[in-house]
Amino acid sequence: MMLWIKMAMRNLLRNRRRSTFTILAIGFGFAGVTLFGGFVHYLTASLRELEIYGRANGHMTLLKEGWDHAGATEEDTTFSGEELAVIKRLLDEHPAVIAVNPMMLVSGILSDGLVSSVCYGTASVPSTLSYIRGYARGVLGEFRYYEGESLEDDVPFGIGVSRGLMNALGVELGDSVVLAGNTASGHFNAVDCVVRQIFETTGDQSERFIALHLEQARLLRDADGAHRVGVLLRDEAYLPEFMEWLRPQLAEAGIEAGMRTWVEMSNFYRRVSEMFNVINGFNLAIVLIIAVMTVINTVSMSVMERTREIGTLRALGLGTPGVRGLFALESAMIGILGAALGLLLQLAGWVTVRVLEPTWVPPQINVEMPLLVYLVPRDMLISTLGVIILAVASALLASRKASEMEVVDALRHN
Amino acid sequence: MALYELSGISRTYHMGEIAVTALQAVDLVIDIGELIAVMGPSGSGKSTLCHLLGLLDAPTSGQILMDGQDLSTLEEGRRASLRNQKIGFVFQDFSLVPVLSALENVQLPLMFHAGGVHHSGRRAAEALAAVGLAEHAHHRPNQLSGGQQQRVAIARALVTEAEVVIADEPTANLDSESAAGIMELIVKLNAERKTTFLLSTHDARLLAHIPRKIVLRDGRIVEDRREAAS
Ligand SMILES: Nc1ncnc2c1ncn2[C@@H]1O[C@H](COP(=O)(O)OP(=O)(O)O)[C@@H](O)[C@H]1O
Ligand SMILES: [Mg+2]
Repeated sequence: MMLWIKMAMRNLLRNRRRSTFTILAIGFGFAGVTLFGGFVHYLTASLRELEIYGRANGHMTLLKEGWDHAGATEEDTTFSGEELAVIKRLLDEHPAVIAVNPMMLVSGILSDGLVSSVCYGTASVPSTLSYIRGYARGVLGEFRYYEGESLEDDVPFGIGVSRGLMNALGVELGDSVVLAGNTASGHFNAVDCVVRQIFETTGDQSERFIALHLEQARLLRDADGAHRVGVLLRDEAYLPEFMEWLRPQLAEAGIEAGMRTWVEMSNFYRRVSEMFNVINGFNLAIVLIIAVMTVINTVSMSVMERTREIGTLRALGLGTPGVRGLFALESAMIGILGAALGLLLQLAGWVTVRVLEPTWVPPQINVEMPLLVYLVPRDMLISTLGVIILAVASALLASRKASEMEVVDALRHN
Repeated sequence: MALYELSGISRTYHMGEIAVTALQAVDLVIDIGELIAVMGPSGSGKSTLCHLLGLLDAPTSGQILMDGQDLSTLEEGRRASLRNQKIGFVFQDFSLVPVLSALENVQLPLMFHAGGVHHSGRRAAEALAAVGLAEHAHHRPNQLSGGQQQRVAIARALVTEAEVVIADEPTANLDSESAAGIMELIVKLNAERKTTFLLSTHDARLLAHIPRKIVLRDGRIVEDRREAAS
């Protein structure tokens, strides 16, 4: 076996230039794909965090069954105070649950007395919101969600307004505003608020958005309960099992609730990750095609140059599979060296990004974010094996004809 | 005991419309341990005969028995392993693998042996010593003279303890001194090891010690002469 490897190695060295360029082509292609893949991972992981932690929706959301039916009434869309209490009690029983975030959605008019604007908002208990955000581990772990102060449990009138709303109304931090809207029973109502923070919206939100205390929303709507309940688990892995457990519990308690995973809740995540996965796949396809072509070309050339030698080896008793094995081995080495170079380049790219800390404004996000690439060991392993397997397959393909040539024809070749 | 029995062997090459008959109705018996020279001008069919005997090619018609076994029905995989175990080749242009040392070249046929061979390094070293090249074991072919390269090729043919070594014009690319050395070596190995040797040549000057000479002309055996070795 050693001799086979030695022979393959030296044959690669025999055509140093050609082998080098083939290895470089594979290496750069490998690094390009894995780095971009690492970037896509970073991106989708960040969007996932945004959904689960940033927006505090948790791993899954409980919604009133029928909340999205046409003509849904207030009762169809809202968990009552009693229902919410039952839900909370149920959720608290489960050991995987670490946070429960009842949310109320409001829409209304925000006014500073001179100018008014429509607005939409989500209301949560501030401490719950920051508790859930605190679990984010990626870029969002140290993300500043707003300018100004945090919302506080004991300041129910404090609200956050989006930059779009701030511009429309011309309000500043600390300004008093009035939030007007309808109560659950359809009456007109208004509450006084103070702007505590300014935040940026993302492309999937209205640019006229507010964040408020759950109590303030209840005051405005003159209702208790919640529209949705976000549930944060210890780990996403518990999700299917947890949902299995919860479904009959809810039914037994007589609560008509629908369950949505965070992926189902986030159109934004699905669309963005689909788009980038398509780009990633396209990239991968191009690189694979180029790599396969390069290897086929390289092997074809050495097969041609060494036809006579193939004849000799076959005269000495090497079978057809052996000939193909010989070229496959050489090609596997090209693949291994190419993948090794690719891994090195990938690491170099990763380190460079780490050191330079570039930032960018992602599409639809409106906030300058660090640009990162993740190292994904599983992808690195798959890419490495993939490159080697493809190299071997290309070699088998390229050497097929020569290996099946009549020995005498090969011997006459020069 | 017959190693080969050829009866009515013909080999015709087709090149488009043109058919070239390289061998025609050849009958031949080769016994174990013989040393045979196949002579004839260029194009007379010497290489074709070597290829047929060496299982590199199959006849268009006729039958070849080796050790009583009909070779014409064998599929290529089986032929390859027979070549590996029973036949050693020596070519006019030495045909050493350039990236391997002399020793590694000699080891090569042992590597091709199904199931592997023990002590292949030692056996290769012994074969190299038998052709007088023990000191050149680690030289690459391009560091060896033509005569030395051909000796390596002979060692490579012998290392598997082949029944027969087929050498197609082994001296054609050598100066006369090296050529004489190679012939001497072949005669000596045949005498010592009782390995059957069949060599082709178009140079009659080197054949003083060859006991059997076959002359081919236009694909036919025109002479088959045995002499008592001098
Ligand atoms: N592969 C082939 N295709 C066509 N003709 C061939 C082929 N091999 C040999 N021949 C022809 O067969 C005849 C005998 O060739 P060969 O056995 O090589 O003779 P020698 O070795 O005595 O010079 C020649 O006329 C040669 O041109
Ligand atoms: Mg010839």
